[in-house]
Amino acid sequence: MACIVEMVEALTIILAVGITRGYRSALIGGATGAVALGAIIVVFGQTLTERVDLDVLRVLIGTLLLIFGLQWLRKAILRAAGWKSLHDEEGIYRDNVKQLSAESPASAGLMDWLGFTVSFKGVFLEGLEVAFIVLTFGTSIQAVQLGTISFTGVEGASLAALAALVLVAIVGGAVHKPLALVPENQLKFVVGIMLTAFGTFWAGEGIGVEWPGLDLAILALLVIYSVAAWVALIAMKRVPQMAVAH
Amino acid sequence: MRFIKGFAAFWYDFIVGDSWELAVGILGLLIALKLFDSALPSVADPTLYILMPIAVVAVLGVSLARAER
Repeated sequence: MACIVEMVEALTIILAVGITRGYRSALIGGATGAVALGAIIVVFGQTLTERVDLDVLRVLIGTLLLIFGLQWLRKAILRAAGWKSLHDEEGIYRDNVKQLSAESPASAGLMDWLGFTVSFKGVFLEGLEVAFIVLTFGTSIQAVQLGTISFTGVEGASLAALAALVLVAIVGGAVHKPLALVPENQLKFVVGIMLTAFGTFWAGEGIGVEWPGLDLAILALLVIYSVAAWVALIAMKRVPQMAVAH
Repeated sequence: MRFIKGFAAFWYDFIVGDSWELAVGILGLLIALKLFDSALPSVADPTLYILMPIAVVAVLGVSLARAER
């Protein structure tokens, strides 16, 4: 269950980045994060928990996600309230299309580094937490009996983590198409809230915040930021209406 | 050299973007909360989880208010 929770968090980030920035960069970023994590686990093995300070990593990645999420949320609120014109974005889009058309065919498949970086960090941190869970639980259990087959604690915990990965990947494959039908700015609004919630949770854990309900606190953060964004949007929509009225 | 400039520009855009007050505000609030937790752990421990989201919302509010002007 603990592994499922961590993997769902990583999947959420990949889906969010995939829909808004393209699945190619999101999947390559996620896969690179998984490979980097695998290399670290192979090199450090069971001494991982002694060599990597998870709190430092949480603060670093959490802070970056928090700032990035707030930037998206701010832009989405300003656009939805009519403070930020969509015309500028359309102009930038036209310029980009013109520029890309002038490039060689290979350039058209350029990596979106933003999508890559966010996916990489999400998978890397969540994967590291899964590795910690597997090693912690695995070393605390003597043996696992599955039918007639017996496993060591670490083997049993690894198998459970693998089953969680397969389950989460199947769910991810099933839900990514319906999500793509949501309009872009609404999607950025939701993704901004999600990244802000994850960033707050991780950075908070890193600086010593004791979240009640552990990972369930992310749901509470999602609600708090959704309400705050909604209130901010209503407040900002009223300002130009008042200006028109006067 | 072009790669280094591009790399630096990417990270500047990623962290600062078009609203420097978000980056400065978040870094400031994290440092303040960490100092609060270190100085008064008995007061900070049961309140940090409430203070942190409120502070994040306040930083967003300041950034939106600046955009209004």
